[in-house]
Formats: sequence, C-alpha cells, structure tokens
Amino acid sequence: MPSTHNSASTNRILFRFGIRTALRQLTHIKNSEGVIKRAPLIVSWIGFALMSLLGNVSLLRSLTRAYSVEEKLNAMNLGPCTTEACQRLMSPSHVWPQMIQFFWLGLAFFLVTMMVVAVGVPLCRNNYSAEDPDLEWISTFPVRLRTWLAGRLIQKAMLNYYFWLFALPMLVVVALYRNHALYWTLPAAIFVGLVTNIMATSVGVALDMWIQCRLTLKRQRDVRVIASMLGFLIFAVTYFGFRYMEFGYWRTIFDYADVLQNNALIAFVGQLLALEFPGFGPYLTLLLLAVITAGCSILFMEKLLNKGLSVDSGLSPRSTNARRIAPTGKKYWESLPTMMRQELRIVARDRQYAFALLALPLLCLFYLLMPPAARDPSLPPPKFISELMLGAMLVMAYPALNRIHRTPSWVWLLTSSPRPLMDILREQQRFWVVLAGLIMLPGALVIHNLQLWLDPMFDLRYALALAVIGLYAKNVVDVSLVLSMMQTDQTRKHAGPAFMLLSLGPIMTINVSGGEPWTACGMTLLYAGMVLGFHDKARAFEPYVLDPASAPTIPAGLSDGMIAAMLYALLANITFLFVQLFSSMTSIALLWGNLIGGLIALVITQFYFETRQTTDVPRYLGRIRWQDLLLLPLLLTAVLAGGWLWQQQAPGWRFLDWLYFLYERKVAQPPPPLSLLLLAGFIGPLVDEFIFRGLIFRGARTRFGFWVACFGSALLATLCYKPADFGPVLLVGLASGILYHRTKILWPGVLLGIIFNLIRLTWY
Amino acid sequence: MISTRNLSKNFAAFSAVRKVNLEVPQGAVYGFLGANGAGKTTTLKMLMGLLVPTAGEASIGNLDCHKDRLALKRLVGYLPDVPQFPSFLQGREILQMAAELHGQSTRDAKRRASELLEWIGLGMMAAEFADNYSIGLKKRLGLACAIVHDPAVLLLDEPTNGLDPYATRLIRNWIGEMAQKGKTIVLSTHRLDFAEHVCSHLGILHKGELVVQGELQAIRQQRAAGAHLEDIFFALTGAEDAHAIDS
Repeated sequence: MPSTHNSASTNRILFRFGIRTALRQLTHIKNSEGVIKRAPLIVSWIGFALMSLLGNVSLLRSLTRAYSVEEKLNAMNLGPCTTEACQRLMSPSHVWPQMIQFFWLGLAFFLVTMMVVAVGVPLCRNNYSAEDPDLEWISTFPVRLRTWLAGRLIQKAMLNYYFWLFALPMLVVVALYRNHALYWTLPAAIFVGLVTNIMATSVGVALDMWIQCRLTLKRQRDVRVIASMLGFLIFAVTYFGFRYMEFGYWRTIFDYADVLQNNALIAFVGQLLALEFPGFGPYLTLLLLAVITAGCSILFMEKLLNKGLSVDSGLSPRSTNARRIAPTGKKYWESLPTMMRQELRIVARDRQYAFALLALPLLCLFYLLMPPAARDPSLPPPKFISELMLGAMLVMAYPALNRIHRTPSWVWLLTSSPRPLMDILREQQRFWVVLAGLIMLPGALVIHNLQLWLDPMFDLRYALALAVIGLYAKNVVDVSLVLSMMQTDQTRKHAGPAFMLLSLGPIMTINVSGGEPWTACGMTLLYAGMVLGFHDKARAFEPYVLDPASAPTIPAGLSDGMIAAMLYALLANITFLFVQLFSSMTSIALLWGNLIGGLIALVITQFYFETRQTTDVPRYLGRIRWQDLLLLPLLLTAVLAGGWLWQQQAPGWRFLDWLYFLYERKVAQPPPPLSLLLLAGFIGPLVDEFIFRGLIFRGARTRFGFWVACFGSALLATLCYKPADFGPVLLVGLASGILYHRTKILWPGVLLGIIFNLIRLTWY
Repeated sequence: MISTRNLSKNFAAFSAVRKVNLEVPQGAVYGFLGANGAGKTTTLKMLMGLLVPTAGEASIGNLDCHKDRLALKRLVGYLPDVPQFPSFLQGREILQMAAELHGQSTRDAKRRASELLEWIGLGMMAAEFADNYSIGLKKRLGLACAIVHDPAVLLLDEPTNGLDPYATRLIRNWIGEMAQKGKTIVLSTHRLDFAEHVCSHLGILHKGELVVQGELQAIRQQRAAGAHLEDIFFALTGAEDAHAIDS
C-alpha cells in the first residue's frame, strides 16, 4: 500500500470531492424523503436563462441610456455634445469613479437578484434532517426568513449559479460590442462572483469534510457550535449592515435615476441597501457588505450554521447531549424562582422566541445609539417606528405562522397571567394562521413599500389580493391542509415557508420586476418552473401534483389564485414586452400590456376553472333563476345613483389617505382613452369579480357569513383603487356580492361592473 | 493486539463504559456482545479515537488510541453502526475518496473501489448516490470503506445489521478468511448465532462493564460444557430479564 499520506494531499482530495459535490447540486436535488435524484430542472433552467438574458439586456439598455453621452450632458447641464464636453465626460477621471460605482451597482444587482431568485430554492432542497431536533429552532426562528434575505438566499442562489453562467457570455458580447470600459465592469463583477462562489462552496464542503475526517466527535461538535454562533453573529452584522445604509447617498453620488425608473430591481436594491445612516461612505459600506455577505455567509451560514448543527450540538435543550451536559449550570438554575424557571424553560424550548425577543431591543438599541449629528438633515427622518413595526411583525408573525400548532411561547411570555384565555385562543389555531398571514404579508409589504418609496399601489394591490387569497378563508385556501402539514413531523417545517413561497412568489414576480417586462417574464417562468419542477416538494399542494391519482382532495382555491396570478404576471409582461418593442411609449405599452395580458390570463384561468373537477366553483348557467337576474337592473340603478351622489357630494374624499400620497404623485399624466376604456371598462370588472367575489367572497362567506364576506370583499376592493373612487367601488362590490350570492355565478357581477364603469367613464 | 486499561467514558453523570480491560490477541475474531446501551459502540468509538476516554487507556498495536489517532486510522478499518456518507457523491466515488484519503493513487483507488464494490455486491449500484442506498447497502458500502486500505485491524460495529442472508454469509466467510490471514477483528453484534459461528474470542458488556471475556471455548467450558451462547449471555447479563421474557 503506497503511503504518501500527508495533510496537503488530504486537503487536496477533500477539496476535489468537495467541488464535485458542489457541482453536482446543479443538476440534482435532494427531495423531502432525502433521496437525491436528477431534478426536472429544465423549466427552471429556461427561466433562469431567460431571466438572466432578458434581465441583463434590459439592465444594459437602461444603463446605456443612463450613460449615453448626450443625455448625460443634458442632465448635467453641460450643453451640447461638443468634443470637449464629451472628452471631459469620458475622461478617465470622470469614468473611473463611475466604473467603480457601476461595479458596486452590478454587485448589488447580483446580490439582490439572487435573493429574489432563490426564494424557492431552499425549499426545494431538504437540507434539514427531519429527525434532528437541533435544526428545528433554525428552521422556525425568523432568522430563517432573515437569513434567507441576508445570506442563505444568496448562498443558495450562488450555489445555483446558472443565472450567471448564462449572463456572463452575453455580457461579454455586449461589452465587446460597446467597447467601453463601463460595460466590462458587470461581467467582471459576475466573473468574480462566480469564481468566489465556486471556490467558497468547495472550500465550505471541503471544510466540512475536513471537520468530519480530522476531528473527534467531541471536537466536531465544539467547532461547529462555535462556527454556528459565528454564523449567527455574521448574520446579525449583515442584517444590520443592510439597515445601515442610506439610499440618499446612492442617489446623490450616482445619478441613476433613469436606471431607477426603468429597472425596479435596481431601485429595490438601492433602496433596500439604503436606510438611515450617513456615517459610512457607500463604497465602504458596500464593500463591507459584499465581503461579509458573499464570503462569510457562504462559508458560515450554509456549511456551518445549517449543516454544522446536524450533529448533536447540544444547543437544543431537547437533544440528548444537552440533557447530559446541562447540569453544569444546575446550581444557578435552581436558584431562580420557579415561575421564572418555567418561563425560561418555555423560551428555551422554543429557542427562536428567545432570539426574537432579543432582536427587538437590539434593534431599538441600534437606533438609540446612532449619533444624531451624523445624520444628513436633508434626508428623511429615521424610520424608527416603521422599522420597529416591521421587525416586530416579522419576528412575531413568522413563528406564529410556522409554529402555530405548538404553544406560541411569545404569547405565553407576553401574557403569562391570563393563561386560560390563551388556552382558548390556542385552540383557535386557524384564527392565528389567518391573523398571522394577514399581519405579515400585506403589513410588511405596505410598511416596506411606504418607506422604500416604491409605488405602494402596485404592491398593495397584489399583496392584498394574493395575501388574502393565500390566507384568508377556508374554502379558498385550505388552511386545514396547511395545519395538517404542520402537524406531521416530516412536513411541518416546510409548511410555513412553502406557504409563504406560494403566497409571495407571484407578488415578488410582479413587483420586484416592476415595470421591467424582461425580468418579469423570466422570473415568472422561473417561479413556474420552481413550483412545477420541484413538484416533489409541492406535492402536498394539490395543483402542482402532476400525478392526479395521488392528489389529495382539496377544494380549489389557493392553487387557482396562484395560477391566475402567475398567468397574469407572465402574460401581462409578455404582452407588455411586445407592445413596448413596437411602440416605444412605455406608459401606453404598460396599459396595453396589462390589458391584453390580463385578458388572456383571465380567459385561460377561466378555462382552467371550467375544466377542473372542482365542486365549489359555479359553472352551470342552468343554475340561475331568472328571478335572481332581476336583481341586476335593480342593483345597477342603485349603484349608479349612489355613484352619482358620491360624485356630487364627495369629490375630494380621501380614504386612508396615507396609503395613496405617493400614488397620487405618480399618476400625473392621464392614460390614453381607448386603453383606459378597455382596461377600466372591461378588464377591471372581470379581474375584480374574479378575485374579490370569486375567491375572497366565496371563501369568506363559508367562514364569516354573507354580510361580513360581502362588506369585507368590497372594502378590500376599495383598497386597490384611488381614494376618490371609494364610494363607487364599495357600492359595486356590495352589489356584486349580492348578485353572486343569489345567482351563484360571477357574470352578472361582471356585467354590472362593466356597465357601471362604462357609464362612469363616459358620463361622469 | 488491542488492549485497554480501565477504559471509562462518562457522558455528564451517565457513565457509558466503566473500567473496561479488553485483551484482544492478534488474529482473533473478538465478538463484543451486550444489550442495547451496554456501551459497545462507545467502546469501539474510543478505540477508533473518535471519542476521548474519560479515564483509562486504550491501544492498538503500539499506538495509543487517542494520542495517535491519525496514525491509527491507517492501521485500523472502522465500520460505524450507522454509516454516513457525504451527500451528492456516488458509492463508487465515496469508496474512491476513502481509498485516496488512505494514500492510494487515483488510479489505484479507482481500481480498488471497483473490486470492492463487485465483491460486496454493490457493482450494480456503484453509480447510485450513497444517500439513496438502503440501510443494508449503506452498511455494505461502509464495510467496503473500512477495508479499502486493507487494514490489519478491523473494528466492525454491528456488521450484519440490515444485511440480507446472502450478504451475512458473505461477511461471515470473509471474516473467517481475514482471521486466517492474521487480521484482528473486533465486532459488536446482537446476533448470538452469528457470534457463535464467527468469533474465536468473546467479551460481554453489561451496563458498561465487561462481565466476561476470553476464548469462546474456554468460556463455554467454564460455564457448562456444551452450553449455548444464548444461555451464557442471559446468565451473565441478567437472568431475570430472560425469565421475564420467557414467561
């Protein structure tokens, strides 16, 4: 037996197989049963490719505009494009700082794109060993959510770097074609990212193998526990790093307003990277962030925090080792009052709540410690309260959603005296799920969007609609299914995140892409690919079961909402894209795109509804009693009269004004009449009926009764319109609700909406 | 070949292994018997240098099991009770990696891996991911990993657990061959019939203590001539339990 064994060769071997392991994860996944197999990744690949190619085309197009000499000169008031001015603008002293900025812009784009792209990826891989009690606190603690955003997502996405494999050659071609240093920065950044990624992943895997091979079990545990703690620390630093930056700085040093308008993704990045503190320069902050996030998160978050704890670390009080090790602090423990010990035990049992409770005061402390003198007075005031609220929502709602079937300890802790009351509430599990969902999704999005200065209406509409569709009523979403999923060991920890993915996916798809059709197309396809491709994971969610024989019988609802939203996003954006290609007028294109896309989506969705074997979706015209149809003219008259009165009496009435102030500012120019007519006159009522009556009302009715459902759905609909339309929309909503209730089909309501809207548009 | 002196291991207040003095002569097939939780796996892990003894010493050949644990791994092959392998690597690759880690060249390692996989009956499954193996197949692969460097000493933790009768017989015959070649084998098992067939020496652990050890024949004659191993085992590890089961 040859004996050339030494440390270097061992590390080399581990590294080699580490790379192999890492690369293999490009084509294989580990499903929920822990079986590794070649994944049906083709749809995802196409999505990634398309998103990458198209997203980058549009990015570069935007950047071309932003960097075109003529516009730049105009923007900078440098006069006409004279040779001197051009030379000045393109001189190294001018270009070089821009290059650096562009580099960071590209990097930031990279990071955030990855975050968005990778939302579903962690779900699709069963990285957590089901029987490992230690991992439970990780999988349920809101850190998981935040870790996704701060590190894990990026890491995961980097691990699946198809995106950049596609992007890189294309960007190189573009850079060659443009022959400008600026265009080389993005491919350079990507290349660095790719290499870093492959190296870091391989190092991570090799490190893990090294730990396994070289250390005793006890040492392994120690090293991994320390590393896990370090990972957590790094996560915290990263998280606060994100919070530590100010959009204003970006805005002032780097004029990318055009990019901002044309690529909401970048706006998203800039703004997300933005908040609060002007002490650091942007380069330093971003550098820090990039290094911390890309490097450390890969190494520590994934390989150590996640995998590291797969050995019995003793961190979890339930682990057998912990029980053996615990008595070291026994005396101190016994000196505590009984009551406190009980509470602490609860905290310890559900460790995430301890962290969660810790996170909030830390957040407060962070804000309090921030030196006020360091703030730029021209910047908006610190968003202390909203930040706090957001944090609280995330901290509280996510565990509530995820661990709803267990004792919600934070509730116990906050209200430890009236326990009988909490017992009662605990039995109302569904209530908490619904509440958590309702608080979390729209709440977080609204707050975020308000402070991020994105278009709140855009987000709000879909956030509300989808969150409600996703979470509201029993028939719409099978909450009991989710609960039952949560209650089995195998699926419990995936239920919450999977639920969130399904709810958030289309929202993300539509919103993050913003007005950027290329990106949206790719993202939608990607999302579809993730859901369909990884149907192993989504098997429990009925619509994605590809084998109908094994499908559980679930009422239609969640699935239909998701499919509808997905279709809508996809088709709207594809059409938008084509219209834009031929029209070059973005605002018109947007309207036309939405219009045609929405129409096609509706037709397809309607077709889908018709062909699906659902029991609750009314589809028989023969069911209608003609007496019920008499309601239509009656209600229409009432609505028209009410609408007219509203128009006369309350022209400037504003409902929930604060929700709209940004929106009002944005819609300065009136849209073209024909498409407005089509959109508001036909598509609007169709979509509204479909979502608010067909899904929300129908679901809410079975749970809360007719009147609550009717008013609730109508009120929700008003949120998606301008405040000035509050009255008419409410009236139409109520009338449609009554009509739907009586006739059991949506079309009379649609008809009412169409007639009413057409009359309003032309007469009022 | 293998000896321990007052080897003990505590997990906090719980003492898993208490003052065990093993003596395994070279070329012996040493059966390590005991009920669940008797301390067999813990002892094997300490012999392998994976756990640090709370007290006492253990050595294999001239090597201290803790201080020289890296060198020890060249001398000893170890089959864990539940073998675990890196995800996303195929059985063949894992075996090849193990061989390379033991200092074989890539080409030798590949050849050796193929031979072993054929021998152990994993030839058809060589290109499958080890994570996808059943328990029995994992055990086979673990065994292949343990012997890939042709070690002089083998520590086998439950080698037949999860194996089908064919593989069990294969292992049994192979252990006999290894013993004839002068290899020292320590195996822990619950299967008394298997131990009876295979082992030349025996050690019975009961609640962390070694209640008896020596040559199988000698133990038999000590207790009662021609006695079954099962009777001896129950007599030594708690007759009342056996009676309770019988009744």
